[in-house]
Amino acid sequence: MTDRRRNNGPSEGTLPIFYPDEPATTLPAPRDRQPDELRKFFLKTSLTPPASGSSYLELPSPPSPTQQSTLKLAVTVTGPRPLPHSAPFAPQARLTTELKYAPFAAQKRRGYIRDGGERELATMITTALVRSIVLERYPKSSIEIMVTVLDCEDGPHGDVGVLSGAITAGSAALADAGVECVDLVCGGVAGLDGNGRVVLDPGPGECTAVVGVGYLAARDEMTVLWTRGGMSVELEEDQMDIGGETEMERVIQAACKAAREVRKVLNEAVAEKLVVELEEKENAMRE
Amino acid sequence: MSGLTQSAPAVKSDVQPLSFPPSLFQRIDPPLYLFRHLTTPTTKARPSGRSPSTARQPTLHTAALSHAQGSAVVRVGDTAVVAGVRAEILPLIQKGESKITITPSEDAKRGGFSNISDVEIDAELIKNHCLIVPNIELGTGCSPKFHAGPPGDYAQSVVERWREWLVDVIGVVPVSTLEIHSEDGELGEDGKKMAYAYWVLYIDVLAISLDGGLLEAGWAAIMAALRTTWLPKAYWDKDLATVVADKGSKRPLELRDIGFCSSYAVFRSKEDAMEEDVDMENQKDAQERCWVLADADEFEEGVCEERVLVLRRKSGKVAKLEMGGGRGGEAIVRECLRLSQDRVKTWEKLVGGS
Repeated sequence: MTDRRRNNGPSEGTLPIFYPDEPATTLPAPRDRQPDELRKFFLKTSLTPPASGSSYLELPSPPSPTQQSTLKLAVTVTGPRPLPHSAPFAPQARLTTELKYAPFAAQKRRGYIRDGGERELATMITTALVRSIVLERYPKSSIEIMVTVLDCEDGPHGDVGVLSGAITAGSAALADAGVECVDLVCGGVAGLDGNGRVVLDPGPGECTAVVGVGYLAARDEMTVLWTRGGMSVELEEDQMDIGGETEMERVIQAACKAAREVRKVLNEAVAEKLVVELEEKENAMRE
Repeated sequence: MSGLTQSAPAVKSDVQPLSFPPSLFQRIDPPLYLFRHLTTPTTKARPSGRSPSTARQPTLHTAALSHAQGSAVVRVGDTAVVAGVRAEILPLIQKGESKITITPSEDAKRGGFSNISDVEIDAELIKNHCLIVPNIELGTGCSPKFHAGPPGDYAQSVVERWREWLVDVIGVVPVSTLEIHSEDGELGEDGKKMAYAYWVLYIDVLAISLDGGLLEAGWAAIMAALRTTWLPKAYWDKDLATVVADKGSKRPLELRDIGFCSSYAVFRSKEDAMEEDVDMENQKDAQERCWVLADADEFEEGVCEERVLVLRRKSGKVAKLEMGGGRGGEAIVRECLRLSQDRVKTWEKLVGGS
């Protein structure tokens, strides 16, 4: 599909850079942290002042060249604002989400027109966040979330990291916009590595199966759950009579645990703005 | 209602003075709001607190993206843009067929005219093959004005200008640095190494936050991204009939020249016309006052129709001057040119010369 409103480059198309020496599959870098240790990440709100609310999430640039984990997300929230006149009456706020990868976000250059994968991720983000918002507070209004992925991991489970990051950053942006919420939503990821060990927040290519959750930590509720890869749902024989958990249950529990860890960072990022505002108010009072 | 009466000061007369906060004043009458700020005797500053000639201080961060060959983040006040450069390959021979490429001799290229510059010859080739592909995305929620979806007229015009500046006006990237030769460096008819393929540079600019000055900040981000762009060493493999790159060795992209742009908004108002009780005849005589606002923000851009844009090369020469939307005037051009000298130096210091 040609996009007549953009510069599309040569009509014959172009080829990505071809490195003949590179092995077809690069082995994942060995995990350099504890199984229950998350990668450190950076989350800050209000980086897009013209928007009602915004946040920026980043996994710091890889410390070693072998570790390819990278993620940079910018999320903005517009609204709550009135629905257009043409829209039918809605007793509650309408939440819409758009997700777009930047053309330079991944190894393969992406076009500007949103593809199915991006739309699917956007729908899942909506599902994850909509449960946390008090929609009845905003009748006849729309709340729009825009997620821009500037940089992300390649690999089979790359979009899982994007999704969980977008949920966390999206919740931060909603809070930044002052949208009334019942709780903050955190994205958490856990997986099974090659040895069947459960690890939190797996790096690229580290796991054979992963589980991601959108989790309301204060209410202990899951708003969204998705899995990739195969996990057993049968109890192992030695676990049968002691009421143990299946493999999948263990990974889901771990994903929730990861989300609870993420929540600490989210709390701080959201509180940061409130503290600044409080201090400003106090200073104004003193003067 | 009770809140309003409580906060209003006790006035003895029956008539309550109408008063509202500055933010509401700004929305009701934007030009008057700007005018009052500029004529407040104590400050004479813009709503942002800057003096008319003060531009916002930019910050730059380069090479932050892991999948782009070159990248830059530029922040100017509340405006933030990200530019990323991706290099891909355009082979001139495809699927075993030989593609006819016209490689005219230097004289023929010039068509008998000796005053055609290298920039123009390169521009012709770059445009024929689409070797430089700039694009902008404003639908990132950067401002409530823009929505996701296909770019509007504004975005398209911005990109077209950048493309023109890159290729035609300044000629930032010479074709020679985009050529990919065969491994043995086979010579063409004109005695130079024959190009088997070209690097195509996709330059994508994303506005993360927009508060005016998109042209200036975005252009600086493109310049900074190109300055940090590296290409792997690559050659045309005749047996594989493809371009083979070596991950281990990189070379920086050569730039012929760089330039920086600075933008100005012109605000005009008749001093007396701003007062309500002046009749029409007096308005004609009232002296017009005019301010040149350097690096206007979103609000000022909305108020001022008249714009001036100065694009200067690294040498300081003016490569392009655009002016429109108002009555213009020599004094304004002179003022903008004077201000742009310092502004371009600021950008050069930040991004670095070529």
